[in-house]
Amino acid sequence: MDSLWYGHKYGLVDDDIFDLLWNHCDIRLPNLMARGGGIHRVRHQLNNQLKQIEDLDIRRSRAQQLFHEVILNGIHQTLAEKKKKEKTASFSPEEDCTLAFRKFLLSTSQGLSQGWNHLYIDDYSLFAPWSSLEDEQMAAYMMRPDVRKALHVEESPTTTWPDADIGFDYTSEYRACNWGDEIVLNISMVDIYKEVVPQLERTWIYNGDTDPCVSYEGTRLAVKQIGLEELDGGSYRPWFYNQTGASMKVLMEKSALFGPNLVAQDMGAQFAGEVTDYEQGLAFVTFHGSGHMVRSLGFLILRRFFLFVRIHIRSSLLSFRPSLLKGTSISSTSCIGIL
Amino acid sequence: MLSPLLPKNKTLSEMSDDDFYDAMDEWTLAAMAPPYVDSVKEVTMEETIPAVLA
Repeated sequence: MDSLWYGHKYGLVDDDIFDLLWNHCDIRLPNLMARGGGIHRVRHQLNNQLKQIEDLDIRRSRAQQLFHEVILNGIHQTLAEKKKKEKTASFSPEEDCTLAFRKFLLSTSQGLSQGWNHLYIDDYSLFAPWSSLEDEQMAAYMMRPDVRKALHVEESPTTTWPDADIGFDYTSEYRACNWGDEIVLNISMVDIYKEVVPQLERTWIYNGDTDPCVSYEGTRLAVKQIGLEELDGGSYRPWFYNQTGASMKVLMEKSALFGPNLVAQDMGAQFAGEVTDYEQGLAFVTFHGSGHMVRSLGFLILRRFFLFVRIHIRSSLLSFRPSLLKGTSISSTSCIGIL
Repeated sequence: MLSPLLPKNKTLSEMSDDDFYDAMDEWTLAAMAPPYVDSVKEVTMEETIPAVLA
């Protein structure tokens, strides 16, 4: 996702501003991940510097600052090159593009930033209210002693979530969203699915359709790259669910972004997303209105989904993982999930 | 008026990056406050799901 293209598509950028930036200034603002990991990547690359900052809020703020320095430096270089080539009486790339770019930032919650202190649009769910409450609630829950115990991480050296304690770093193991790192195992999730799918009766790979950062488009393309034939009649088509009313208690207590489309009334059959069926029981499924964290934003749809999920793992799979992974763990940076 | 006017074009294009980011913060906060938005009370986590903190 390019935040300039996406912002224009969803009505956050004026046509003239978009035309100037896109067609004349050659501004491209690709997905944070595609740009090289965005704030996560900056934080990793500059970990030695950042981990000296003990306050997590200050550390996050510094990582965000560094990331924007990277963006702005890139844009300034683009404009400087254009200025040499294209300055005319009616178009001054540096001045006109700078003005347009700043207007773009002003109208798009700083280019759909995920880290700006005053952000007012949540790019995980453009049409839901913005709130950080669910993040704070989840963090408080995950750091509770009883939850740590339940997750068997009582002895973990890091005690904070989602940001790890000072000194945390990681090693890229798989060719999955690793942005050019030296990779321990040169295999991607597509390779893993090629081996897993034939051993399962049914495999559903899913993605929400509203988060432009971890977008369904990448998952959809990855599923095609598994290389299985689409079933005749199984092409991209809608699926539906029965939206029943949520109780007032749930509506009052839930975070705004936990099931933002929950309502008190029974709504009947509602659009749940799209599904494509392939040979060997593989399906690609989207969840309408959900970010990549389907379980929170698409709560009712997910509940219907799991009512029908029956996966039988053949015994041969039990010997698959150890032989393939040789004692390593599944990469936490994999972009697609398996049921 | 639904929203405050942005800084004038000349001001916006000529300010430094640091000044621009400060101006964007300032403008956004102004647009979220009276008289453009009714006075709002900030919601705290404690007010929403006390059970989470149990």
